[in-house]
Amino acid sequence: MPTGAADGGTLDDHRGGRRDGRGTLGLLALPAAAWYLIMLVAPLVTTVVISAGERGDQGGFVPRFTFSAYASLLDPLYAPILRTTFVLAVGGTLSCLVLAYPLAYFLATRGGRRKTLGLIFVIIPFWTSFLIRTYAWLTILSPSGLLNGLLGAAGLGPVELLNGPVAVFIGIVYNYLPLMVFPIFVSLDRLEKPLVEASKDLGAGRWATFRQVTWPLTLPGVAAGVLLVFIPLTGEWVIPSILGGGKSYYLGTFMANQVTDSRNWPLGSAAAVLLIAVMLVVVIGYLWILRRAAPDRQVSLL
Amino acid sequence: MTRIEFARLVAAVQSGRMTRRELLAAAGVVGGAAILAACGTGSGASVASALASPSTPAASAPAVASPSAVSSAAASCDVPTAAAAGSVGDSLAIYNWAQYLAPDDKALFGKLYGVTNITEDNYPSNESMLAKLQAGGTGQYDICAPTGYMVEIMVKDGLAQALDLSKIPNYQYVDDRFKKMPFDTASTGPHYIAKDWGTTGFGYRGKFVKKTPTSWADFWSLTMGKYSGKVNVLDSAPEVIGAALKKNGFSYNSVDPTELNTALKDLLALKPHLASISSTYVPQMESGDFWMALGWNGDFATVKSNKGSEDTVYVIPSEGSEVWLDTWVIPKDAPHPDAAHAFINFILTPAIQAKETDYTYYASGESAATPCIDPKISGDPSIYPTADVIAKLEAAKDLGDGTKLRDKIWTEFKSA
Repeated sequence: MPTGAADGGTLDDHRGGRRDGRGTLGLLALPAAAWYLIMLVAPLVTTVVISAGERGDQGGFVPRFTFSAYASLLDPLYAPILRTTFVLAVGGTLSCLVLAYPLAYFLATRGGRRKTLGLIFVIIPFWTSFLIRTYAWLTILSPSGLLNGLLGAAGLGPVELLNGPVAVFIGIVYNYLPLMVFPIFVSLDRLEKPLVEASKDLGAGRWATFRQVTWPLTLPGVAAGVLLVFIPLTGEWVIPSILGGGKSYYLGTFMANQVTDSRNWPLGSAAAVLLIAVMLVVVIGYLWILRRAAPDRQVSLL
Repeated sequence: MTRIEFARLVAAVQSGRMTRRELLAAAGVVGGAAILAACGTGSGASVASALASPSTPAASAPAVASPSAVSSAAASCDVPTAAAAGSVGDSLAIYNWAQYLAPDDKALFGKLYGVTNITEDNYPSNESMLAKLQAGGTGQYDICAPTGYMVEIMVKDGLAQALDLSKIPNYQYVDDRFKKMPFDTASTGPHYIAKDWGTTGFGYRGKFVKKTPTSWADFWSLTMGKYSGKVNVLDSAPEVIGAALKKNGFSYNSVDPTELNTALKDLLALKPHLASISSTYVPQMESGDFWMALGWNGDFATVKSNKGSEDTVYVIPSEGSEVWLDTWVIPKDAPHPDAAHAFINFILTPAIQAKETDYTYYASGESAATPCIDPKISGDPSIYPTADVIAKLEAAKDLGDGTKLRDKIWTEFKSA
């Protein structure tokens, strides 16, 4: 497997001096490191500082060292928000996975020379603004929209999909699907064919081959896709507010609302910090389980 | 859904609450909206009582010695042709609601005053504007357009600068009733200039709604009955909680836990019957997806002016509702205060005020501008309500810590 170290080694060889190469590498990494520091760490620190403050009379925040914002999050009032957010994130991720895997599988194994073309089709929607794409669904699903127009022409009654969980799910799967397709496609594309053939030669059926060879070997791609979809989904608020008609309250909407309309920065920040903490635990646990699962399978494979 | 409707939807994305300020490109017929006579007594809130007092435009008084070119514009509906001040620099950064300033007026100001670099950013709510000024400093913009209660917050937080009235001779045209509002009583002089005003109520499509609702109680019973699934309310706590409070005879600004609980019960009963909770509702009202909606008068004037939805009726509920005054404010550290003052002075020219009202469908703060306004607009009681209707309206106030309690009510309503 090509790793960063191997690439670095090649670079060193070309430069012909280990120390020299390392210095250059360090220099090259500097902009990215500075970017990371300014764009990620600084806002994060600000968020933590605000979350420990108090709401100012006119909004904004008064610097303090208090956990009152965190304490007020324990109010059962906020439990439904967590529940709807969890259902949205888990349900959205699973739906994307179920749809993306067969698509990626098809592209990687049956795509042939048109593989690239297929990938371009997957990414084409991304050339249009995310908001416009989401609003396009509004016009499709609305009571007087395209879908109901077609249904009406076919003599079928109107369906009220907009402003409910169905519309939100459609919008989420539509927007997040490519994020799941790509990593899975890459892992399937890299999958060494002889392994699959060997499995078949050894008498394993299609399903057994998939379960014992293909699936475990593409697990890293699945893991990457799941993280790429699940993490942003926990903070998603644009799609629910546009297609859900604002009738469900999600964590993302709640946080945005606290910073603007409710003028309670500490509460919004505390929710954000808690979400980050929970996500860290979930992601680390998830990766740990994957790690433990993968070698076992590989052993059995061997 | 037509292409144009789609384009409108896309345009509406850019700001949640913008529909209130949405552009009316085509001058449409606006008039005859149902406005109901007062039958209860309002709690005499600030903007309402100011508005209810007879309008006495200062301009009708013997002309105060007013410098430069504008003095002759008192009764003239001609737009200015020359700058009223010397050089004011070449830049002006405006922070405003979307489609809330006529592009022609902006361009004319730039041309007359040599301000070649005018930028305009938009915000979807008073609170997002506040958050941006609080987080990023007041040096980002030269002028912004908060609602009255937000002026109070900005003045308290030191985000607004006192205006130099000597640079705004056209201040003489502003109605006296808008000059000393209770939300800005600081002795350091006014921090705001009245921009325009309007009301919050509900509107419906006469074609679909075969009743004539006149009150919040009607709004509730129709939504929970015959028109379930066809009604929208704003995604904005003050207006929606305020409506539920008014329905029960309480103040629009109540922070009383018992009163708020009563309002919450009504809101929770209403929720399952709502089509959506969204501040974008003009396109859906026009297309007939929504039959009734809680919103602002100018929006329903927009819907009514649209071909195919002329059957729209706007109602100021009989229990009372909200009246609001939007203003121009110069942030504390505005980088181009001279240009900002010149802009305010320019926009206060009665002829320009009239053009603004023709564009936004919201009432001007200058009675002197009325003769220049399209009579279909100035004669429309949903845009210029009568004094007895205004008397029972309340203005939103800064609720201080009470916002927290109302936020909990809102959270419970939204997550139910």
